[in-house]
Amino acid sequence: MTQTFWTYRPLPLFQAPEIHTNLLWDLGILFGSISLAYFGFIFLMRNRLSARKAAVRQHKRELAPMISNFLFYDPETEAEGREAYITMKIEIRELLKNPFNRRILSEVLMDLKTDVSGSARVKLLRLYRDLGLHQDAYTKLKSWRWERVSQGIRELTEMEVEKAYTLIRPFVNDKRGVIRKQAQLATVSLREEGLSFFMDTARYSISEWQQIKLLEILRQREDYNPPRFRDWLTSENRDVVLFALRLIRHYNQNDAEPAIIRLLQHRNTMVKMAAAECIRDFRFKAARDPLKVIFRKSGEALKLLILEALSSIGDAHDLPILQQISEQDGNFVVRSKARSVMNTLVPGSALPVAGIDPLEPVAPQENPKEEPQVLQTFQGQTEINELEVQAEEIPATEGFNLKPTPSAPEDNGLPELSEQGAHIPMDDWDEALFDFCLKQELRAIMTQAGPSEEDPGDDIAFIPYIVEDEPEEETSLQSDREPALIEVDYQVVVPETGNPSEGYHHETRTSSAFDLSFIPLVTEDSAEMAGSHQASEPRWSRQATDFEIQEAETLVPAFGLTGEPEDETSFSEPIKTEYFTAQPEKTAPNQEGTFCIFSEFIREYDTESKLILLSEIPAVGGPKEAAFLRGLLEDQDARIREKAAAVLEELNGAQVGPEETKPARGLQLRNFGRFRLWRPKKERTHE
Amino acid sequence: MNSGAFDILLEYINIVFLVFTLVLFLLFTAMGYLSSRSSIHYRNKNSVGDISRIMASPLSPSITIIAPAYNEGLTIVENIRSLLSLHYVNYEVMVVNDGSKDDTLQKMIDAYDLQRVEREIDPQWRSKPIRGVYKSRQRSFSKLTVVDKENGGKSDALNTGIQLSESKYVGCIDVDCLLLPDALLHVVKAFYQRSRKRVIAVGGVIRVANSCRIDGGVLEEIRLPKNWLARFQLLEYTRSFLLGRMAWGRIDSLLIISGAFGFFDREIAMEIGGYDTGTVGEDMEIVFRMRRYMHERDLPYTVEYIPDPLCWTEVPEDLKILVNQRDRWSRGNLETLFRHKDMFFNPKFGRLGMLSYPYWFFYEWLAPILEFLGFFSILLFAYLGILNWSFFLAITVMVYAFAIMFSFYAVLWDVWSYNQYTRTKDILILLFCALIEPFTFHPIVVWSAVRGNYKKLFKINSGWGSQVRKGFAKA
Repeated sequence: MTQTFWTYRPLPLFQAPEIHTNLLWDLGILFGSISLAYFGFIFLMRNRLSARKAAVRQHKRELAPMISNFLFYDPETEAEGREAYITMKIEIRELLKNPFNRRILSEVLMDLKTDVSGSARVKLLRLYRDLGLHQDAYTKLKSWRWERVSQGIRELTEMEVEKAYTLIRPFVNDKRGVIRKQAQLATVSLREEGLSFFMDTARYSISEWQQIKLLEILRQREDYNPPRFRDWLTSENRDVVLFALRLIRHYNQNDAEPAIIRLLQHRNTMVKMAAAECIRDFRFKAARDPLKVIFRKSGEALKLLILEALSSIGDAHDLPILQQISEQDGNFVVRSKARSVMNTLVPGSALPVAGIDPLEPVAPQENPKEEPQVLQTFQGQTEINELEVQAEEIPATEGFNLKPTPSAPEDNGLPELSEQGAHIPMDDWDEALFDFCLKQELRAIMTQAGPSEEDPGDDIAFIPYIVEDEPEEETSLQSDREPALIEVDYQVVVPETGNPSEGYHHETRTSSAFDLSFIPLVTEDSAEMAGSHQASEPRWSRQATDFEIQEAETLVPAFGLTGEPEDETSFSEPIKTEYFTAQPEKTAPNQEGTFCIFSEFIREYDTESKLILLSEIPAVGGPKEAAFLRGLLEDQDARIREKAAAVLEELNGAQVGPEETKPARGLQLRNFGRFRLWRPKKERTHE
Repeated sequence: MNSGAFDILLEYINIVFLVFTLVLFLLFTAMGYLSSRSSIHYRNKNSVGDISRIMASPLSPSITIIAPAYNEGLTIVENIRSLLSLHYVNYEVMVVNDGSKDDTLQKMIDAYDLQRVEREIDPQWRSKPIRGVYKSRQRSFSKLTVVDKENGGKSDALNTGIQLSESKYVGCIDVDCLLLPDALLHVVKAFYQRSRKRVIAVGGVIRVANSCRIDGGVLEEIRLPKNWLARFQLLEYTRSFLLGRMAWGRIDSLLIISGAFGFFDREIAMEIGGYDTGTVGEDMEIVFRMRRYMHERDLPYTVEYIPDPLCWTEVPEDLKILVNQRDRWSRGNLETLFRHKDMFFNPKFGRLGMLSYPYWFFYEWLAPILEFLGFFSILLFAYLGILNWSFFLAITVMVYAFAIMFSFYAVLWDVWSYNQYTRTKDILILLFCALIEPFTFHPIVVWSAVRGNYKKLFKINSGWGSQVRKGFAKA
């Protein structure tokens, strides 16, 4: 071909590199040759595999009767039989000179081992050793190939060669994973103390699969006396701790409560879950608060476990947090579980909310003297996490929004009171429906209380109106410390009469069925409510003071005050329990006996937590905290005493108003932790 | 343009094709090496120990097998029976009837004595409405849960199952698949054998069950398919699962888990929102997203691959159904690659971005298109008389020889690993398939891929298509 100037001259730089076609042909031939080789290998391999398979089958066929004779040989047999036995023994010794036969015989014995039991099994294991086959396994332990070593270990384990324990033990921390795992199984399998050795020395991680296999070995062991696995809860190897927890649970060793509860704080989720499972199964009640603390940052699986644990160790006091979870958790399954747990703890405490059609509205009561007017509603909010000490005055006509602000250090994670929230008026039918239902329940209570009890009739205006199926039993004092996340809408019930006592005071019946003393009565100063109760034991008394009753006329908590009732059973059937005390105890407001919410928290926590809580008191504390702090001045712990003194000093310095100033009755809405209390509108207008 | 420049252009085209081919050869050779290493290691590692012992361990995790069913009335009862006979204690079979138009649901109700039960369903969960959840009145079928829902496609049905499941792991399978009795034990082992990495998904080999003898949901005898299309697919599956995925699994870069046999960590699957219902390549897409989820959070994780033949399925024996299936696969491939295009040569994703994704882009998506265009270019060049015949013949022979070599190698490893086709005739047929595949089966696959891409690029509406099953009972 003629090459012109214009063909190549201007484009020398763009000249494509030459492709050596011959090279392509060569590669093609090479690949073709390899293909042919593969073709040959395929059939060669098939033939070899088939031949080996046939040989193994043949040898097994020859050896199996011999082994059977060995296993079922009776020493009492006659001379002819003994002679045959000896001949066979010689024969088998001859056979075992061939390594292939030895391997086959080992395989046969290992296969047979799974099929026989009792004395035959013992004989089989003895035969394995008598024939010296375990020596082959020992040889394998010295191999540089990991698969041979692991095979040797497995063989010795399967054939229960106990003497191999010391030989295998060094492999427990071998850097080659397969050998290590096989050695771990062998160690645990061959001797009872093997597990302790393994748990003490394990440096590498132990996979879940390995743990399953180890547990399976232990389960199959007869007359096994397990060690106290709590000893390994302090191991630095996370997987040892995890395995120990699982073994503790499996063997029901419930003697490690503090350590298990402590492990709830472990960084690893698996450990936390294993600890939660133990707590659930062993019903460690002391774990309630730690469980709640770790709940928020947990994944779905752990949350479900925590809820399960709470269902077995919790009580009515856990309802608020469960209510919060059931309403606010992002995971549907967790929400459902929370409702389920609520109903487990207090049947009927969680009612269906989805797909519920409203009932036909009932005409509202027209008696202004007895019927409170509902102005505002609480919606959705039932959780009480912490009590806030300072009160705020709220204009009567404004709604409130308790939407939490990002946790600022100074407010201790508590929600700030917002007065700009949406005001949600209650529909008439809601009010009427509530009244209707309440009356029905009151009648039922009266019926149960006996014919002599006074018919409540329509005198139910003192009862707070709560929407969202809020159960009465949630008016408990809750010492939960979960940070605020929830928004509270609420309603204020206001009697139409100018005299609030007409709406409330006359409800102080002598009947125990109407003892409302379990409802915490909250005023500006909690000391007045607490009466004679000790600050360190802030329990709500069934015996309400005069002031409590007086307050009950004007200020009734909407729901979920934190605290512990003296009698938990009163919370399980809230409507049927007493409403007001029959003989109210006359107790003057006593600063020394005031109730302080911090006491509830501090009572249950360790020193470090106490110190942290104490440091929060100056920011939110008041007179009742001063009384409480004075009590702490005699604490056994010097650090607590010092801290209490310092805080007390700070608190006294910060207080502007005198403690003895009793707040005037009227509208005073307190942000008590994360919930609000309401007062009648009239009361508020008085102020 | 003068002829010299045109010649240079043609030569560069040749070089591009040659480089493309040689890189592919290198990758395939590397795959062969890695898969061989992996197979040997797997075999040695698993030659010791008996996994059946742990089937009832109290530590064994719970697994839900989710099997979407759409118009499966012919085979559903038998298939469920097979799923209920697996060797494992802590598992549930959840059949999701995806709005079947035939009597699938009724057959299940009748055969398993089902009754409707109440089950809370997350109203926020995105899937088609559930009509009812059914459980059997008989204790022997207590592991079975049937969910009846409106039709929303396979992904939607799987999502419903994932949402309703309460197990730690969920297995997404095709209801017509046959699982071997020990399948779940292998899956649990794969999930649990790592201690430092979280295993987020486990995939396995799919074997061809056409013509095999199956009795009562149990694989009784393995036979080579009688249908030639099925035989070609058997060879293709052997190559793909035994060499390709094994190799990607070895370097922890597996980007696809077959929809017929895939198990997932339910927590992660829920975190990413389950399957994407907007793609037909949902099995690949979910692995992409799960991997990305873990990668972006810098969490140690892996995707495991089980080479044991645990799942057996019917492959299409009809050309039209085969083309539809491959068309769908290529659309799914394109959709997934496009959706995750930011991973392309993105070092942030490590091997996934630098190796796995580019491989899928060039050799799974682009290669069929180039082949198709190349074929017509050859015809055109031959017609124009500018075809470099020596180069063309040399490279064709080389590619052909390599293709055969690779297929033979796959058969060799299959024989070494499992040796399931015991008759010599079967092996010879399989090798013969390898010889003629480049001229017979491969063009069909290329054509299907091009059609899928064409449909996707020009937005021609096309869904899943349908596959008429003969059913194992009648195979």
